[in-house]
Amino acid sequence: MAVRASARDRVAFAPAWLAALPALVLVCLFSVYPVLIMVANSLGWGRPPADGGPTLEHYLRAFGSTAVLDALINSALIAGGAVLVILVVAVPVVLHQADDDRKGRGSGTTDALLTLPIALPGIIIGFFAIVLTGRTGLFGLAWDGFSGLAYTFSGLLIAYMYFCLPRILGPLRGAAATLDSALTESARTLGASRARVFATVTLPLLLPAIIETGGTALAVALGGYGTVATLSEGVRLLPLNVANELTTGYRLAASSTLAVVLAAMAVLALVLGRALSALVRRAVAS
Amino acid sequence: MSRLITRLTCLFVLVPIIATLVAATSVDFSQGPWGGGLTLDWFAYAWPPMAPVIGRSLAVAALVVALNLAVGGPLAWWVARHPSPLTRLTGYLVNVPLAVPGIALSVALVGTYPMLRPSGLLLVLGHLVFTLPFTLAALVPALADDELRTNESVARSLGAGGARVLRTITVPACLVALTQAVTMVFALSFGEFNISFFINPPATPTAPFALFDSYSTQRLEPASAQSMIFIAFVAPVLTAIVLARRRSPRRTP
Repeated sequence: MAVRASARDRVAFAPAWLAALPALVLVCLFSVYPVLIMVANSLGWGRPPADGGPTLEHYLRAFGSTAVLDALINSALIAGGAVLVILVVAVPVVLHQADDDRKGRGSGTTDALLTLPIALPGIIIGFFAIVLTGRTGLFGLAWDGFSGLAYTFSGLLIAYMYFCLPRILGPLRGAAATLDSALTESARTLGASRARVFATVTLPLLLPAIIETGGTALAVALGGYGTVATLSEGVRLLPLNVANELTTGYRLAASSTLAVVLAAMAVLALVLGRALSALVRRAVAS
Repeated sequence: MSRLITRLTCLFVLVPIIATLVAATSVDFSQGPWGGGLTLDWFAYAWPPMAPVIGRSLAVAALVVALNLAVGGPLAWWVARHPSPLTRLTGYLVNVPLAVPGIALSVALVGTYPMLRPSGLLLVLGHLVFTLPFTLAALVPALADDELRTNESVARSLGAGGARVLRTITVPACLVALTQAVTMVFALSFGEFNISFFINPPATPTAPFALFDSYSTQRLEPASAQSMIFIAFVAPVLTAIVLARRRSPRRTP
């Protein structure tokens, strides 16, 4: 009987990896391989008539251009700034929501509203900026200083904050929900002030999740193209340069080079976020 | 204090949407909210050209969801049930589109397969690899659940066939995760702009490209109306995402 059962199991499960094969083939063909080709193109290994031979020429040209360097610095400042601001705002919001959920009065409407921007493409968020603070924007009627703000550094920063909000609130909410409320409650009954409990209990417990979420959101914000594409007449960010190299004259090697730089920044943000988070988690645990 | 911040954050999300709705229903928005009076003409003007584009985007999103279930489902099952260094490597490979920005992946795809662009095949496959990580993230934890595995083996030991176990045990147990995966993939594909930028067939654009075109060529009012039509199509999907998450037993997104 046991032999028969195992034989049947083998029939059902023998080619287990076969189930994964179609997806793996598609992922390798349409995600991993194109990225490798992109890196090769950036190094001059593209198909002729692309520049022949292995060369760092495209990277030297990119990093020698002030336009590219400006866009790179703007990208880092705007994505980094937006993520930092939203992290500071998100912590009280998720703690409040976790508190409400524990008391069983969590609001589905708040939840849905705060998640909504995740389904909005970046271009709509850029358009929101135009409606409110464009040249004929709504806020411009109240105060002239708001007219055209959408195309400035601060306008773009606010638009990217909108973009980052659901991407930070979502994961942080999960982390806040797993916090043990007994810890904060006992600290409170032992006489610690609200601020002290936050600084010595809640924040250290939440910090690994904050760092990891920040890294992931930074990676997404750095690559966010739609918002800045809609507001492209203003401050320039790196994803715009990536696209421009292709839309104005199909310079595949130059575009691939900038795309590799952009991807490297995003990967760096992700990896740093994970590594720092693991480090802090260990420090807090010990 | 934290309640106030939560309220303000909700306001931050809501104000631009309301302002866009006001712009879409104003005769002349540059004269202020409902300047020149209230009208639905912009919606009537925006809808006819928008309808076929929305239809196309819905079709692409539905196809991407179906492909995700067809190839992502078995992949998630393999990763959940046969953990090994190989499945870990698979996880990294599948997550490449999460690390590489969409516009970079778009450059990579059009540089590698320019011949697949006009038919729209490249767009669908691009959306598939972009959404696959989300399908895996939703399905793998559900499929790895110990209770589910016990129930399956009990059913099998009682003589149920593979298809019957899948239909009566596995799928019902993973229903919340499946809903989460399907709605998320649908919303992501429907609004996808970055990866699509260079691989979208130029003659037959999807909804975000119609919007992008209007933003640079149209007046603010009809562009607002188009944006509101788009939001009306994603809002129900989003509600489904939130409902699925609230139903989920473990509150980990």
